[in-house]
Amino acid sequence: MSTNPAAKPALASAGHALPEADMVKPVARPAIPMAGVPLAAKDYKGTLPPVWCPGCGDFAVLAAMQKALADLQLAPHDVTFVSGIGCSSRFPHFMNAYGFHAVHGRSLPVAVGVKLAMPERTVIAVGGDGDGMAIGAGHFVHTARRNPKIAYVMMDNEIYGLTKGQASPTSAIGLKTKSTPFAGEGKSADQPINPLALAIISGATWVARGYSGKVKELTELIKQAINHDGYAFLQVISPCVTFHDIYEAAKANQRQLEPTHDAKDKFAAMKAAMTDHWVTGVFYEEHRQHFGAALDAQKKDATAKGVTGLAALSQKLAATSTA
Amino acid sequence: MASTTFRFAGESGEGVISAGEIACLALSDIGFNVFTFESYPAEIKGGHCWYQVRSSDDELASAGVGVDLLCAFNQEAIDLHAKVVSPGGVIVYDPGQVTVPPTRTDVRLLAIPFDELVKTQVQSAKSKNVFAVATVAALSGIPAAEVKKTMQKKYKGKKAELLALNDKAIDAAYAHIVTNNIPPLTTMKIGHHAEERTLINGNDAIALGALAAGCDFFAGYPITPASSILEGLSVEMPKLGHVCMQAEDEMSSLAHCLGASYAGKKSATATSGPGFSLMQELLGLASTAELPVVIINCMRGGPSTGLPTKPEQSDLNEMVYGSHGEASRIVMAPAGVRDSIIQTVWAFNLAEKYQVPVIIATDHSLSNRTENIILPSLKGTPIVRRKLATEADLVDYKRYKFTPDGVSPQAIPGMVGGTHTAEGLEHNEYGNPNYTGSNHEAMIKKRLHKIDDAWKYPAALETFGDQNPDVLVVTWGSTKGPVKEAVLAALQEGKKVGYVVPKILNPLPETGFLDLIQKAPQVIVAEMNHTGQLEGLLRKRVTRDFIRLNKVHGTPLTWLEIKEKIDGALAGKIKATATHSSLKQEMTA
Repeated sequence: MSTNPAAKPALASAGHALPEADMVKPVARPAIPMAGVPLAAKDYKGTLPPVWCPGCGDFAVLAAMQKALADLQLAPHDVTFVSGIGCSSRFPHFMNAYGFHAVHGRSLPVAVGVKLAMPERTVIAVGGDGDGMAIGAGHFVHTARRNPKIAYVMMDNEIYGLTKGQASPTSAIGLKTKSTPFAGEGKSADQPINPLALAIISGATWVARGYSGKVKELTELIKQAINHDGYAFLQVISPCVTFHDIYEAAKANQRQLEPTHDAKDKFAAMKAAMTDHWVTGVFYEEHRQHFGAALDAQKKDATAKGVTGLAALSQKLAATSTA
Repeated sequence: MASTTFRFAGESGEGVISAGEIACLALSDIGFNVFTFESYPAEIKGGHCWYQVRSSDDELASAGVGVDLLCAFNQEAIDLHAKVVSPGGVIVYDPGQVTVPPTRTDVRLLAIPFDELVKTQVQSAKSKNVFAVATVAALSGIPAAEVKKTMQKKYKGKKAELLALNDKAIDAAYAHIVTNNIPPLTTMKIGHHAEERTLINGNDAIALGALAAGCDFFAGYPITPASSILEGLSVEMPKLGHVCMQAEDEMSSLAHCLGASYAGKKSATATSGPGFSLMQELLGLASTAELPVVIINCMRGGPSTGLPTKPEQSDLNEMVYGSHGEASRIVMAPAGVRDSIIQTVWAFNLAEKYQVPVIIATDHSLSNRTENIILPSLKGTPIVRRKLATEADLVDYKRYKFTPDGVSPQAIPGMVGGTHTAEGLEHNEYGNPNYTGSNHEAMIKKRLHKIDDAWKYPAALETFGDQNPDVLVVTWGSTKGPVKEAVLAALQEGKKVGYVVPKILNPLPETGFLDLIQKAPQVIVAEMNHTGQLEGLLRKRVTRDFIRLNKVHGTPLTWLEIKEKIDGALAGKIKATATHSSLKQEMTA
C-alpha cells in the first residue's frame, strides 16, 4: 500500500485561471487531417494546453491516449471523449476529438447516450477517482452490468486535486488530508474502494490497470480497451504531485501481473484485484453481448412484427405535418 | 351540459379499476364522449380505489361534479362515496359486503349480491368486475350484445376460455336483472361517433406526440405517475428502430438523453417531482451546453415523496427557476389529452429550434385520464430539426458562436472539422472554458434571450368566452377543464366571462395574454397549489390585483368551485388581493 505523506499546502490553483486574452485571440483550431495521410500522435492534440500541475500523471495518460489513437488510426471526428468534473476530467479539451465535459460524476451515463446514438463511433469516458468512485459510483456499477461498448479510463490519484486536497474514495485508510486531518491508525473508518474488484463483480467485461509511469504499457492497454467488444474499464495510477505524491511508492512497488495470470478466470481476476494495489496488466476479460447489440436484437424482433399501435399512429400523425 | 357519471369503488386488487376501464370502453364504443378519473393508493396491495367515467354527447372538459351511478364493492365505498351521488342517482352495492347500507332517501338503492352470484352463476371469483360492469350496463339499458362486443375487443387474442367466461358473467348479470324484474334506470342511447375517435390517456398522448415529433431516444426511470410513458415507449420505440432504455436513476436518465442529443438525437425523458428534483443539475448542463432535450414532468402532490398518486400543480416554480444560476429553459403545459399530443410536438420543435431543454408539465389527473379524442392534424405544424453545422461553419467551427438569433449551429460527431467540447463550464464561442466577465455576461444573455420569442408558436394560447370579460379566469394545465365548464355555465347565464390558458409558461406569452390580464376588470387565477405559483409569475409581469383560487386537496378543482368564485367576483363579494405577500393573512383567515 502507499505511504501517506501529509498533504502538502496548495502550491497552485489547479488550473482554473485562463487569461482574459483568450476571448480576443482564440487558440488556433487543430488542422483537419488530410485523407490518405497517416495520423500521428500530434494530430490528436487539442486546442488548449493542459492545465495540470507540472509532473502530474495525467500528462502521461494524455500522451498514451494520443499515441493509441494514432496507432489505431481513428479519425479525430470519429472519437468522442466524455468526462465529469475534476483535474483529469479536463482531458477532452486537450484532445483533438469530439468532447463532452459534463457534470460531476455523470460521465458514464452521458457516454452511454452518445454511444447508443452513434454505435459506429468510438466513445471513451475519462475522469478521476472522485468523479468515478464517489458521486459516480452508482453509474460505475450499472454501466458495468449493462456492458456498453465504451472504454472508461479512470485516472486514480487517491485524492481530490481540483478542490485542493480532500480525501477520495480510493484514499488509503488512515490518509491525512485536508478533510481528514485527524486520520491515522485506529482513527479512520473509511475503507478505500477497490475499483478493479468492483468493476469485475459488477459485470465489466474487460478490466485492467495501468500506470502513468509506464507509458508504453499504458498505450497498449488503452488500445485494447478501445478495441474491446464491450465495456472496458482501465484504472490508471496517475499520481498527484501537489496534494498526494505517491511516485516513490509507485516506483518502489510497481510491477506487472504474473505472465501466468489467466484473465479469463473470474476468480483469479478477483484474487489478483484484491491482492496488490500496484500491479498492472489485464486482470479480466470476457466476451458477452454488449448493450447495443442486445438493443439491436430487440429492435430486429420488434420491427419484424411490423409497425403497429402508437408507433403506427405516430407515423400517420407525422404525415399530416406541414410547415 | 348533460352528462352521466358512473363510479366504481372498492378495495384495490378487486378489479375496480378494470371494471371502470371496461365501462369507459363500452361507453366510447356506443358513441359517447368519455372522460375518466381514477384514484388509487400508493401501495400495490390493499387500500381504497375508485374509477369514474363521465359520459356525454357533448365534449367533456372535466370529471364533473357528482355521480349518477355508484357501484360499491364494499362498505368503505359506501362510506366514502354515497354522499357524492347526485339526488335521483343510483347506488348499486353488494349486500354481502355492505353491512350498513346508505340511509339516503333521495337516491335509489339496489342491493345486488355480486360475490354470491359470481360464485353460483359464473363459478369464477375473478369475473366479479365483469359481472359488476355488466350489471351497470343492464341498469343503463345497454344491450348485453354491446357489452360482449366491447369485451371481445378489449381481450382480443386472449384465450377462448377467458372470452367465454366473460360472456358467461355478462349473461348472468343480465339474467339477474331480468329475473328480479329490475327495470332499467335509464336507457343510454346506442349510436356511433360521427368522426373516428381514439381512446387514449394523457401519458400515451404525450408518447404519441413525442414519436410524431421524431423523438428517437428515450431514457427513463420508473416513478408514479410517469412510468406509463417509459412503459409505452419501451414497446413502441423499438418498432421504429429507436432506443428506449431504463436508467439506474433520474440523473442517469437525463445524462443519457444529453449524450444522445449531443450526438444529434431528439431525446426525451419522463419523471415526476422527486425525479425532477434530482435532474436539476443536469437541467443546468443542458441549458449551458445548449443541448435540445424534452423533460416530461408528470406532477404529483409534493413536497418530498408527498402524494404519489394524487394530482397537484406545485412544481411550476421549480420548472421555471430550478437549477442553480440563471439557466434558460422552456416550460410548457398541455391542458388536455388531445392538447398533450399537440404541445408535445411543439415541445420537441422548440427544443430543436432553440437548442434548449423543454419541460412539459402534466399532472397525475391528466396523465392517467382517458378520453376518446378526435386525433389532431399537424397541418401547419412543422417537424423541426435543429440547425446543424454546414461546411462553411466547419471551416473555423465555433460551437457556441454568437449569432443574431442566439442559436449556434451544432456539429455532431462524424462531422469533419467539427471537433469541439460541449461544456458546462462557462465557455467562449469555441467551447473553451472562459471565466472572463465580459464573456460570461455575453453568454448568459445569448442563452437566456434566444428563447424570448418562443411563445410565438401557433398553439401557445387558448382563449374562450367573452371578448371583453368582466371576469377573466387564468389557469394552466389540467385545471383548464373545470375552468372551461365553469365559464360555459356562466356564459349560459348571460354573464360576461372568459378564460385564457397559456400552454407555455416560460417564457410567458405577451400579446393575447399579458395584455388581456392587464386590462380585465377582475382576474381569477385558478391552480392546484397553495402558494399561487402562476399568480407569482404574473405578478412579475403585470401590475394588478388578482383573485386567487388555490386547492391542494389531492383532487382537481371542480367547475362548481370555480363557478362560485366567478359569481362571487361578479357580485363584488370576492375582492382581489393586492400583493402576493398578503398570502399569509388570506390563507390563515
